[in-house]
Amino acid sequence: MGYGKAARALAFAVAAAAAGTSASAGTIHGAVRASSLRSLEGVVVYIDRIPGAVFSPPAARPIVDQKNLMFVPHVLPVLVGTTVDFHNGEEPSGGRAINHNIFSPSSTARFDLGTYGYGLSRSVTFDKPGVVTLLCNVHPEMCAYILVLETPYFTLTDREGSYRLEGVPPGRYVLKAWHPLLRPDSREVVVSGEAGVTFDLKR
Amino acid sequence: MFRAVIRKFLTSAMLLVVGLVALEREAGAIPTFARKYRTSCSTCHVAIPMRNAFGEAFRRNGYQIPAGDERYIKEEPVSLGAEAWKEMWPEAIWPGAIPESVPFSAYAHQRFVWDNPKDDREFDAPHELELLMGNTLGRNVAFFGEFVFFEKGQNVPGLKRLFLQFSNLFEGKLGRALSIRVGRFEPGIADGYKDADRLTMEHPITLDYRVTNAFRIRDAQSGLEIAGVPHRSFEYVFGVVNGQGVTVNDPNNSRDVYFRAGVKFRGMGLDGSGSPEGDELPMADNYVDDSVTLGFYGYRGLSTQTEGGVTFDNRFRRMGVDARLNYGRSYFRAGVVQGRDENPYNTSQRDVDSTAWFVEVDRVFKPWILGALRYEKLRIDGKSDLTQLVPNLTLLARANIRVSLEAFIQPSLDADPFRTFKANVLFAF
Repeated sequence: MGYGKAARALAFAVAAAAAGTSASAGTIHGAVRASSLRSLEGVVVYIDRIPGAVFSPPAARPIVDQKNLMFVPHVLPVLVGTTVDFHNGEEPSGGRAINHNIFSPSSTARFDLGTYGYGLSRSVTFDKPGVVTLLCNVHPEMCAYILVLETPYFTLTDREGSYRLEGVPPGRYVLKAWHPLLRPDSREVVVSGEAGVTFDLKR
Repeated sequence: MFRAVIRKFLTSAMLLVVGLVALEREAGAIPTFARKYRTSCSTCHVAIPMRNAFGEAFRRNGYQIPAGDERYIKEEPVSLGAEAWKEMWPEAIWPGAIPESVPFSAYAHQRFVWDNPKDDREFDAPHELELLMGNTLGRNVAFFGEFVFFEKGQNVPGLKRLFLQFSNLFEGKLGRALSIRVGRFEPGIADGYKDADRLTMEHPITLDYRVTNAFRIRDAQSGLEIAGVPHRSFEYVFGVVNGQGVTVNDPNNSRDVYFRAGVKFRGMGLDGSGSPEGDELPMADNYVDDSVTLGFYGYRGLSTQTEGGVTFDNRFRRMGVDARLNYGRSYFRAGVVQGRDENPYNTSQRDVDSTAWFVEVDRVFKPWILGALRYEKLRIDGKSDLTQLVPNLTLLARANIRVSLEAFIQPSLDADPFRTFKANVLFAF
């Protein structure tokens, strides 16, 4: 799967760009624990809807690529209103092109981009918050998730399950943790400088 | 006389231990579950195939690690659809998986037998070769089977067990309270002391005795069983089976039914709660689980037999209690079963009662040296009244190579009570 530092950096950069900067912005840091997972990387930690707050989607378009019969990244958090490019980066193998078909059965955003080949991209704008499951009709073992969120304050955990959410304005929020295989969890957090929250996710 | 028996046993045991310890043997490859998790047999077994508390919880959980199977799997299964395809159901097939490697393991026994009444000593090698198959088919679906190629010195190939199990149905709401298995399996009434869990070569009398040839508790049966662990300390089993063991065609239209209820105090939960949750599975010192487990069970059946060209029915029942006390390196086990057969011989002898019971103590002296001593009695009205004593010494040359030395003594006999001495080497791969 591989989220990597790049994916986490992209997620945070998009969030920070949308949020702007504030001299009094705080940081939420902590860890996610889940005994049933081999790797704790890729848990989305985010601030849930802030009543009355509206955020503009970023101009930069995140990319969901398809390589080695996998979606990359496996989990992508985006701000509602973001347009995502779905790119077929599957290099031909043995002279044969490998086509993919991306579709989503989710009520949050139901779509079918059809089958297309190497080097091509198609786009979807996500206007509704929620979870979007991505599947490929050609390769049933492929799947990925887009988490469409209502605030730009989100990040992904690293391999140890640690996360750091910076640039959060002071205030009281609901902080959530989400992983595709586990039950989500939420905590109330008050941000005034540094705040620490640990999640323990279960199936 | 008893001293002579003990002398014979100890002399033979010492000679064999010296002989076997002198052999050098590399451990074979590892069986299916050990391959899947890249772990030793000792993770789940005190001495193969006798399971420890963790191994028992693993079995009850549908051959999955209770604390979270995915993180321990080292051999990735072949996906039959990503988990997200669940969202497409019923418009798509529910996703599953198959094991990456062929899920077969083998158990082989080499044996030396001293049959005292016949004054016969011989090598029974190979004594048995069986193929075991088992793994999961995605989350919460498992299968297990046993095929015997060679048994008691003869080619008698046959399928002993093969079942499919759906574990932890409606897990979100019911947890581990509901599992269903279908196929051919040992009825779960013996879960307190399963046949495969014994340290001795001889089967405990409560599982092994027969009033007629048509029924024995430890025989595999074809049917359906519902079981679960609704609470860490409580388990239940209900089953419906054809009856009459592994006969291909059930000779009557009646199904046998059975139930079991078990409760465990202290120790690791029956659902595996309380088991270690580190990054790797613990492979050592897994035999301590201070606890008390009690079980109660019943079986009711109808057997149809043909003798002397006459076919007749026998309605029968068995009711039993079993208990296990684990304390440090010692295990104390006991069981009693009471039976009633209404027409076992098609003679004027009706309502034949039987009672079998045993007490056993097992001890882990070292992780590779174990001992067992079992005392058991059987009484069948008008037919037999047996007392049996089974001392056993088990040595683990490797986690997958087990050497057993065992005597079978019947003090109730007027003649020489020493019946047999067996030395067995079991290896698994």
